[in-house]
Amino acid sequence: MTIPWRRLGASAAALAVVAALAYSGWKDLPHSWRLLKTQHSTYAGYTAAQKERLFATSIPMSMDPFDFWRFYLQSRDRYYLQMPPEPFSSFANKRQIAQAIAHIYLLPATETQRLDDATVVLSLDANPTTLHRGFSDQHESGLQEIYFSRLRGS
Amino acid sequence: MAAELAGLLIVNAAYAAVGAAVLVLPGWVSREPATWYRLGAAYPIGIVAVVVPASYLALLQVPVSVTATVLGIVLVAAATWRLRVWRRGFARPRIGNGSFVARLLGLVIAVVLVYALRTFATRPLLEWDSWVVWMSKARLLYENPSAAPAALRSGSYGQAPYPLGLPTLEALGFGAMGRFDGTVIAVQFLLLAMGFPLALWSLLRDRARPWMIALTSLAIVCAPQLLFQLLTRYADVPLGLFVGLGLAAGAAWAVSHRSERWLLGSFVLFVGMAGIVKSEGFLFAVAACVALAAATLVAGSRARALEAAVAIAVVLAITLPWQLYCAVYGLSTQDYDLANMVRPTYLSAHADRLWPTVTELSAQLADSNHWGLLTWVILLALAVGLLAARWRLLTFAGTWLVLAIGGLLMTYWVSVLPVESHLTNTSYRTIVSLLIGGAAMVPLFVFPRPGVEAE
Repeated sequence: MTIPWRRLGASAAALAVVAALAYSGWKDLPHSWRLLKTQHSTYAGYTAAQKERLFATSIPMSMDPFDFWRFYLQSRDRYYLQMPPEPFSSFANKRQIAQAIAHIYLLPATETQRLDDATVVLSLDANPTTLHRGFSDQHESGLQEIYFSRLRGS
Repeated sequence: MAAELAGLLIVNAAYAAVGAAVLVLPGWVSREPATWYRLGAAYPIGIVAVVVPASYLALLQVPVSVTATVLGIVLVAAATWRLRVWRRGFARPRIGNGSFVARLLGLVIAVVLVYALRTFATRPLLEWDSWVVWMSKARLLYENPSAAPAALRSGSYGQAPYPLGLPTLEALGFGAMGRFDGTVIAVQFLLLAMGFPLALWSLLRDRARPWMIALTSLAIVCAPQLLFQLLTRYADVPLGLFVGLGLAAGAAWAVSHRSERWLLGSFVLFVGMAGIVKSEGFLFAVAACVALAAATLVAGSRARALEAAVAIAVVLAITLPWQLYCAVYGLSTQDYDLANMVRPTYLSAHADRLWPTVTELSAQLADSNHWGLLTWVILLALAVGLLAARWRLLTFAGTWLVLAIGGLLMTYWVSVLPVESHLTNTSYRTIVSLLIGGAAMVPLFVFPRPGVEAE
């Protein structure tokens, strides 16, 4: 009688699969449960407004300019972000960070890369007069270089 | 938050209804109770049925909610008519085919995922790529559909060549919630995971043991890294779930002796969806098509080869329009140039990227704190297939894994990003589809139902 080695090997490997799956489930469940619990307890105390800003504030970047701009923006506006590309982190400059935040926070207004396509200019650490354009409406946030400027004819 | 959550749950119930309609219209589900188990796959099928057309029509400024609503109503109405639901004569539904162990494991999965609901409804959006790429596209599609196509092409709202499958699903969720909520939308991601075990059971039910399907599902959807990555709203786990279901359907069809077009149809829908969820999804979809062709060649049946050819053509019809759209508008990433994959001089000059990539991806795959022993499970299952001479299944699974792993290695090889930081930022995510895809086929290898063994 010949021993069916292949069949025995297949059965042994199949049992090993079942054991490995069972071990994974046994080991993972408490880990996953803890993960869910800690993630919930970390953020359960935040208000909806805090959560909306947490991405930016944890970078950290102040949300004040974005709140200021959002107050004046209209839904169909196309904004041009006037801001120098100051050093900020190893993966992005300050302008890129501000763009990333603005893309979600300022919607439905959308960003345009060309000043000619814009209806408004949003300025941070920059003065809109340097763009040499006419503005029909302009607001400054206190004494900071934060401006909202609506382009004339838009 | 309760109103938003209720809206999200209602629209997801609607996806299941649309999926059921998609299964009814070709006759894959009928008044015959023996076909009703297929409804287990209705939820993800419904998502594919509305998201694919909605994401493409969004490029023509059509709001995604309009496409989904019109399409959903038409499909459900047509299926209702076809099924003549107003006529009596439906048999009483029976829940069978499950052992005690399978039901117990199913209960454990349900408890974990229901417990996860409060975490998913609470954790805010924090991760860079999720915010910059996926959520900004999604909110744009939801809040300003007329400006969306031009804004998306500009590259300002995430990488321009990234497909719109996931943002479309998120935008539909915002529509159902009545407003943008970057926190509660995480529940949509959890619901995708919830739908996975039932869909997997539905696809593999005739060829695999229910307890084996349940055990595999438990190891997949309760893996710490899967739940964590779902919480981050990255696209990798949703992609992996669709890849897993597509491969399960394709593998089940490949080992089937009968012509089960519902499995082939499910393969087409899930793999096609994978192709428009992420850029790597297209790679995985093409790999799945090659794997299906290879397994069909091994089977040697002309009729099945024709069916497989049609299925592959439909997958390409779903996925290629996005590639053509990118080509027409010149949308390309600065991270890599795919043409370098076939330039030996370039590959040779950057060969120093290969070994760090191999070691890092291997380390991620073998990280038992993240994924349990899923990698070993897949390798052992392939060994079972080899020893038990399940050639069609082995051909399908092996071909896909080799092509998918090879393709992933190539994307790191030709990338212009510094290899260390690129791997650190992405390797734990890009392996997700390999693990879920590979593991989803395991129940067919291990203690399959009689019939699968004897090819």
